[in-house]
Order: sequence, then C-alpha cells, then structure tokens
Amino acid sequence: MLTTTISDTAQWSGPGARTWRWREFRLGRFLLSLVIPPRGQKVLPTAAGVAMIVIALAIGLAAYNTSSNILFIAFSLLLSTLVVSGILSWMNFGRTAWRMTLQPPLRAGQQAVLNLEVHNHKRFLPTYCLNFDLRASSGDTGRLVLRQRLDPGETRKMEWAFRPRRRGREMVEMTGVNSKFPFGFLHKHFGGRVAREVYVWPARIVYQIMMDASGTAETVGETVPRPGHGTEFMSVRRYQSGDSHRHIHWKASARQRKLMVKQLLAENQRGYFLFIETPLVVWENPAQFEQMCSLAASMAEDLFRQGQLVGAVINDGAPILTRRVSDLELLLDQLAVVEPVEHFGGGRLLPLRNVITFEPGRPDGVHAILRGRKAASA
Amino acid sequence: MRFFAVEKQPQLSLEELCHVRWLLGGLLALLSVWTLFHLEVSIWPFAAVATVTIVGVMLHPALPGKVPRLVWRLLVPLIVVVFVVDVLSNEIVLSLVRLNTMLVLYRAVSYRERRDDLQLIALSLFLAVLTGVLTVSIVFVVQILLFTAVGMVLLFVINVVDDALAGAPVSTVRWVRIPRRRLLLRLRQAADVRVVVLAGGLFAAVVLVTALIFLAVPRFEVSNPINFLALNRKSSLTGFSENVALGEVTDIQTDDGVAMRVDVRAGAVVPEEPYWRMVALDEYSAGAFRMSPSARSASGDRALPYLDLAPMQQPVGDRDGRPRENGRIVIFLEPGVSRYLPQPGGFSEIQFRETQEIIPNDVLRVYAMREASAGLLSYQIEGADFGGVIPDPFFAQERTRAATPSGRRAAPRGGSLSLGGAGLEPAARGGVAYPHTTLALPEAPEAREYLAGIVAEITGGREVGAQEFARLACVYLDRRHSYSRQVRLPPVEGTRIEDPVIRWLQAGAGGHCEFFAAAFTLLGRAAGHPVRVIAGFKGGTWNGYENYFMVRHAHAHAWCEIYDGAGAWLRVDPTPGAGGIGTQSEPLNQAQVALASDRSTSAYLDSLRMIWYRRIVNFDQRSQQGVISSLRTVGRTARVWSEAVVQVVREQYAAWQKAPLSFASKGDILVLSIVLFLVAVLLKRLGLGKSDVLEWFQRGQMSTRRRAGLLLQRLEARVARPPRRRSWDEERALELAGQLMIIRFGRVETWPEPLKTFRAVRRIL
Repeated sequence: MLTTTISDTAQWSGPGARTWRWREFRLGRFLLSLVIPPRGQKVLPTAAGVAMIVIALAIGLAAYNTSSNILFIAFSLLLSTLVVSGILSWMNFGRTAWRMTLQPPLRAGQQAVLNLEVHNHKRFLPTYCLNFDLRASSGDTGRLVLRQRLDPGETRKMEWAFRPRRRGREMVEMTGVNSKFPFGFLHKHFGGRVAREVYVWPARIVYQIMMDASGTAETVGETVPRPGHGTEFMSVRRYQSGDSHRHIHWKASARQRKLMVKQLLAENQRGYFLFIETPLVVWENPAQFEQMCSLAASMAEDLFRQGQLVGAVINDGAPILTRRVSDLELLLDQLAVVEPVEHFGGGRLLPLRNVITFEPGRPDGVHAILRGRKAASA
Repeated sequence: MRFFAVEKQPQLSLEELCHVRWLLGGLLALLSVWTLFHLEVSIWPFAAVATVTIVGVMLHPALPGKVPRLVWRLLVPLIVVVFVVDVLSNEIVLSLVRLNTMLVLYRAVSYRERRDDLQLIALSLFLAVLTGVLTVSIVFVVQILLFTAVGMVLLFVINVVDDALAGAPVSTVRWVRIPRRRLLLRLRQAADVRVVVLAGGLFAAVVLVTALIFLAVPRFEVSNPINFLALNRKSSLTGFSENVALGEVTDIQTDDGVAMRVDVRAGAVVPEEPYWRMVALDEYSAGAFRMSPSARSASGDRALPYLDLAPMQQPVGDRDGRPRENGRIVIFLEPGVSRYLPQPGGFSEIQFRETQEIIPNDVLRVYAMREASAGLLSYQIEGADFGGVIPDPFFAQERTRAATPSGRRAAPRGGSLSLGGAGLEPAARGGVAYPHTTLALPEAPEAREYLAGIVAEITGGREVGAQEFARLACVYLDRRHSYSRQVRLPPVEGTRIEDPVIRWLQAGAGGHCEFFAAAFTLLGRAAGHPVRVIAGFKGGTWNGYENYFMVRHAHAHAWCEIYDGAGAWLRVDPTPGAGGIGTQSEPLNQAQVALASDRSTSAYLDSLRMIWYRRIVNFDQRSQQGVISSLRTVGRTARVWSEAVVQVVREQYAAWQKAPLSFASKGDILVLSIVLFLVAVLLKRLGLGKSDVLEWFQRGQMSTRRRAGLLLQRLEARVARPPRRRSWDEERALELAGQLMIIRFGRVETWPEPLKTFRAVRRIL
C-alpha cells in the first residue's frame, strides 16, 4: 500500500481518541465545560431552537402575568427540554473518535477518495447524526453525514471524493464536526481541526516508448543482496501489516514470542536510471515542465512495475535506489514538489549505462533520452 | 484504544423512519385534541370529528393526496374566516381553542415537511397548554407528560430523517401506505434495549429537571395578575343559583362527585359538620325561593375585579366576646358547581390567586362571580369562622329606617306582623323590597291563618325571642315530620291551599331539608322574625390520605338564618338530626379524624388531585420559601447527623486504641488482616494484578489481550499436535493464530475484530 502522507495525522481525534480514565475526571472542570465549552467548541441554537426559546419566554411571561402554575409547568418543560437536549448532545459526542485516511495514490486531475472512520467507544450508547465538514486546499469542500446509528463499539467508514487540481502538496482538512442531535434545537460544533497534508503526484500521461531493449539489459536472474521476492532465504524479520501469512516463520515466532516472517532475497533484472534535471533555463515553459514531471513519474512507475527501474536522481539530490515500493513513493513524492531551479551545477557523471534524461521538445512535448537517443516522448 | 465488538443491530430504513414520523405526528395531534374533552361539552363534537379525521389519515396516509390542491390552498383562508365569525359570536377563549384545534387538524392531515412538523408540535403544545390552563385538571399532567414523550421522540425522528435526507424534502421519499404489522416488527427488531433504557432515563431526567426548574423559578407576588385565560361556564347547578325551587338542592345530592376540597391550614379549626354558605334567598313564592332583586342590588350588582375581598362586617367572635382564632383555609371549587363561592359565613378576607370579577353582596353575605368558572377555582379564606352567627348591622339600620314614617317602604304581602316590636305595616301588592322580603308570607289568607295557628301552638301564645322561637319551631317540626327524600304532598283540592309548604305542614309528611327550611322560614316569618333560606353544603369527609376536607355534591343542603333582633343572623338548621340553632359542632380531635376519614380508593384518587392542587396549582412564593426552608432544615439535619456519626466513630476508635492488646479486643483486625493477606496471595498465585481485578470489576470480563494470549496457547498446542479429524484446516488455524498474535501483541489499530476471531478460534479448537 502506498503511503503519501506528509504529516502523520492518521491518528484518532475527537473526544474518544484517548482512553477515558476515572482518575482523570474532575467534576468542576466537567461542569464548567458544560457551561463554557472548551476552545473551538460552541453550541448555537438553530432556527427551531430560537423559536422554541421565544415560545418558552412568551409562556414564561404569561406565567408571571397570570400566576398560572400550569404555564409555569409548560415553561419549565420547555427549558428542561433545552437542557436535556444540551446534555444529550454532549453525550452523543462523548467517546466518539474519528480519523481521516486517504486512499493513495493521489494524482493531479484524478479523483481521490478520503476515508473517514468514525468509531463509537461508548459502551452502551449509540452515536447519531454527526456531520463532518471537509475541505481540500485545491478548493473542494464537502460534508459527510453519519446517516445511521453508530452502535457502541462500531466503526463506520465514509468516503469523500475530491479532485486535486495539480501536483504538489495538498492539504485535506476536517474543518469541524457538528450535530443537531437530538432535537434539532441546538447546533453543537466540535472544533478540533484535523488536517492531513499529502503529496499529489504528477498526473499519469500517455507516452510513446521508443527504447530498444536489446543489448542494454543488466544481468538477469542473479540474486542480489537485498530483500525481494526470490526463492532464497535471507533472514527473518517482524511481522508487518500486509505481510502474507504464508511467510510466517512459526518456529522463530515461537522463540521470539513475536510474529516473525521469512525474508527472501531479490533477483536482479535489467534496470534503468532516471536522471531528472530541472534547470530553469531548460524548462522555461511551465506546461512543458509539468509534462516532464508527468512523463518522469509515469515512466518511473512503469519501469518499476516491470522491475527495470534501478533508481533515480533529481538535480543535485541524493540518488534514490528503487528497491522497494517505498523508494518509488519517495521518488514520486519528490517529483510532486520538484520545481525548476535557478542554479544547477550541471549533470553529474553517473556510473551506469542506462541513464534516462529528459529534455523539452521543440516546439512542444517532452522527450526521454537514453544514450543520446529518444527513449520515450510525450 | 479498545474495540468492543457487538452484534449488529438492524436499523430502520429511511422510508420506515418516515412512516414513524407520520404516525408520531398524528399521535401528537391526537393527544392535544383529546385535552378538549376536559373542556366545555359544546366543544366535544368538534374534538370527536378531529379525532376521527386524524386517526383516519394516520392509518391511510394516501388520503390527503386525493384531496385537490385547490382545497388545501383554500383551507387556511377558510379557517381564518371561521375564526373571525366565531370570535364575533362566541367567547374569545373558546374561539382561540377552536382556531388552534383547526390548525392542528390542518397540519395533522396534510403532508408535512420538517417545518410543518415543527409547526404541528408547536400548535399541539399550545392547545395542550391552553386547555390545561383553562381546566387546571390533574389529567393535564398525564397528558403533558405523554405529549412530552411523544414530542421528544418525534423531534428525534425528524432530526434523524433530516440528516439522512441531507436537506432534501421529505416528499422525495415516495410512500403511500404504511405496512403497520411489518413496521411494528421492524421497530421491535431495531429497538435496542440500551436505547430504550436511555430513552426512559431521559424522560425521567426531563421530568426531574422540569420539577427542579418549576421549584426554582423565582416567583414574584404580582400585585394584579391578569386572568386573561379564563373560561366561564354558562350553566351551573340549579340548586345553587338565585332561584331555587323545592327539590333542586336535593337533586344535587344524588351526585356523589366531589364539589370542592378544603385545605385546612395551620390555625384553622374545621368543625365536624361545617356549613358552607353559597346563596341566601330572601324571597318566597309558591314553593320557590329566590334572591330578591332588591337584595341583589342592595350593595351593588356590578362585578368588580378583586384580588382580596373583605366583608364589611367582620366575624363577631366568641360568645364571650373574644375574637375567634384566625384560621386559614383554601378552597378548591370544582368547575361548574356554582358562580356563588362557598364560604363559612364569617371570615376576614378572601384572597384569589388571580384577579376575579366578583359581585360581593354584603347584605346577604354571598359572593358571586359573573359566571361559574369552567376551570378549577381556588381561593384562600383568612379568619374562617364556622360559628353560626353572622353580624348584619345593615339589617338593623334598615329595620330602624323602616320603623320611621319617612323610611317606610313596602311591607310584606298581606302580613300585619310585628318585626321585633318595630312592626312593618302591610303594604300594597308588589314592590316588596329587602329587608321586608325576609318577612313575606304566602298571600292566601288560609295559609297565613294556618301558619299563625301553628305559631300560636309553638309559642303557646307567648311572645318569644328569635332564638327561643327557633328552638321551639325546630322541636315542633322534628316532632311532626320525619326526614325523607321522597315527598308526598296531599292533593290541592283537599286543602284549598296551593302553597306546597303549607300543604306539607298540614299533611305532616316526611320531607327533605328544603321542606324543613322552607317551613321554618314561613313559621318564623309568621311569628314576626325575619328569616332567609341558605343553600350550600353541610359537612364533608376527611380524606384519610392527604388530610383535607372533601365536600361532595351529596353534601348539598338547605337551612335557614333567623334575625336575632340584635344585629346578627343566627343559623338554624331545622332538618331533623341537624345542629338546630346557631350551634356549632365541635372540631374532631386527631383520633376522631382518623376514624372518620375516608380511606377508600376513590379517596385515594381524590388525594392525588389534592396533591396536584396543593403542591402544583397553588405553588406560590410562600410555598417556594417553604421549600427553601425545608431544604435548609434537611441540610442542617444532615450536617448534625454526620457530625454525630464522626464523633461516634472517633470515640469508638479512641476506645479501641486504649483497650488492652487481646484477641477479644483486637481480634477482628487480626482476622481482617489475615483474610486480606490470603486474598493477596491467591491473586498472586493466579497471576492477577491490580489492573486485572479492577478490570474485572469494571467490565466483568477478562482483558481482550489476555483472552487472545490464552487462546493462542491452546491453538499453538493444537497446531503442534494436529487432531486426526478430517475437518482440521491447518492453514486456517495458522491464519487465526496470526490474528491472535496481532490481538495479543499488536497495536490496537491493526486488530481484527476480537470477538469474531475468538469465536472462530473456539470453533476450530
């Protein structure tokens, strides 16, 4: 699974994010919070709530004018409904947690899906009618509604689709959680802005491959000293989420009292190296520059999928050896934020034969160059 | 962070929620419309039609769709027109009630969006509160509580549906039929016990908070509260009006319902059989008494707004001249009993909760409202005096004035009777005015002769005072007539006298209180003593549950008042077995009250009403101060009690410390220490720590990680020695072991669902 998160905010947020302990309970603070909500939280009456308050006041006035205790009862009843409404609203939010996760990859111009998980940590009471306001820095806004009851211990996943406009950093944030539960008289806003900054990779583009594969391949089929999906045993390591259960090493697990999996050696294949230079003098046209980023990202992914990507380097940066998926992600993350640079020291001498570089086409388009010849064009 | 997996509860679909919303809206409208049945009978058909219509539309929601749109559009203007016409021809409060009902009906039978539902709730609330204010019935409590419960559920459903629709109109959900049986089944399936318990708890919380707010809302003594939400009843019981024919009071006695309740406050003493005066009737004509127009207008016939009402003459006090101890009683008069207020005759002040329009008649000492109240009327009487002596300086002045030539007025018809020596002369026909009406006799000479003969027989030809005459007359009536509700009069032809009372006297027949009172009145007048008939209640029963006095319609009674010639009227009750002249039965002591108390089921139910009237309807600033005072007392008592407990514990501890070291004195501590030690050792052996024990108490179960660890051990053992059964799936076992390892050691965020995993592992084991 690809990871594109810049800020690690996939933590649970909300009142139920932390384990609640009795010893941390302070009655005074609790009572004060009911009267003066904590920072970011606010309770506002809705239109129906305002109407109800006006009706209650009118009945109260009539009660004083007539000294009628029946009217005083009605007045008390309306006020108590408001009070109970506030308490219920507070209880509804209580011990409810939520977190945002994004379904990578995020690419410019393509629809992205934000997953919102809501979990009810309450032991007895369900949670109802929560509204989550969401906003992306590219301009999209949306609201996710908990339409059905969230039972105790239950987790509900909701999805919000948005479309990042361009590559770069995208800030997706939950601007607030609010609810009109239970009677629609009070609108409780639970602040606690949750934001996730993610990389939006360059858009995938269609390009024409002109590479001649003959005679350029590295040695194929030999094992290389790095983890992979070969057949030879390399070592054991701790189980990680996503590992196949078939690779669990039971003896090692029993000895370590931890779940351990077998690590196998990778086998070598033919490989290319991407060299991405972005001097401003070369990439004067922003459209061509964006096209180059997209071409580089698309080629990197395709070559990696074919096992033919050895690594890449961007300008003066450190070379990235693409041994595993996370290396490719790192490369794409860098491509997401790469910009034309004013001062660039010039091409470095790479000790590899299959180095692919990029140059703008004339008058438009972008070309990938391998050993002086066009390897791909977009 | 822990995940406690629970069984997935089925939930209602949006369409089903819409069904529930529709039904709840109808139910709410019904609850408010049903409050009308406590109001005037004239509004009942209106309420019945509304009920039938709402129920029909509730069960067949397709019906409103068959009504043309034009009709719906015309309905609101039509309602306005009906209201305007209604206001012009009827009492405004009733018109308001009818308008409110029509609006509730309109909203209940039309398709509703969120705003319409909120309007329905508000209108229904208005109707319920309005009728509650008008009737002040205890049923209001039940209705408003039911209303609150249904209203809260409806608001909740509206909110849920609104969120589910995300702002789209309800009409986007297409449905025309409510599958009632299926809906009930689905409701049952979807009903989560926890939610139901929570809803019950919430409702209790609402009631509790309401009670607290009701008690805590500051009450001010508003100097002149306006009773603008009052409904007058056109009719009242005929026996308690200005015109009372013979038998009308007795007719009231056939009803056993409670007519009024008397809350006896501190300082007040209510005798065993108190008399509650309501109307005084001075004019007699052919078996009917009435309040003469001159008596009615003697102290003005205009209704004036009163909050406090004091009579012109104060109670006379004891026989020895000492003022009577002021007592306070609160009377709760049921709706429609009479426009005349029951009162003991002597009092210093009547206080109303709200301003009331009262026509005070200090001449007859009766107090009437403009019309009988359609709701419960409560008023407080200060300085209640149940003695049978009512001072009347006005009558003495009138008598003096009548004795002088210039002040002579029309004299009683056909009577050449003396008035305590002052003597009123006979006058021409007609135009007899008060106070001469209290001496008027039947016109027939035979009747007067007959009465004069009886008077002579009673007095033996002597001239006796009013009190002595009353005593002798009561003895005479008691000897000649027995008490009977059935009165059989001889035919007119035989006696040549048409007056029924004279015929009754002649026949020596049994009769009820009205005949005795009427007969005594005529005899007294024939003897020259001014006499008037009083109708009201006599007696009552103590409620054995709430210690108040219940006066039923069955206690309706008629008696007389005779002028004693010395500025006061004496109560005379000539009915056999009654008190007789001006006597006052002694108040009961506590034991007697306990014995005489009514502890029947109906009394219990009535006591609930009294609690309602006492604690709720009559709750005022004074009651609020009482509550605060009680709370202070409770607080003080609790503090004293806790201090005493602390003191005792300290003393015992000090004594224990000082005691010599022996098993007898300190063995309990030793035993306790050993037990605690053994428990600690046992826990240690079991490998349980403090957190486990706490967790056990908190959750009543083992921690999820520990359970996973135990199951993992068993699964590993089984994997090491696989069973020979064919169903054994090693791959599945290894997969589950992996899941157990994650639960046992992994981060909570990565856990699979624990309960499902545990269940699967147990199955494979």
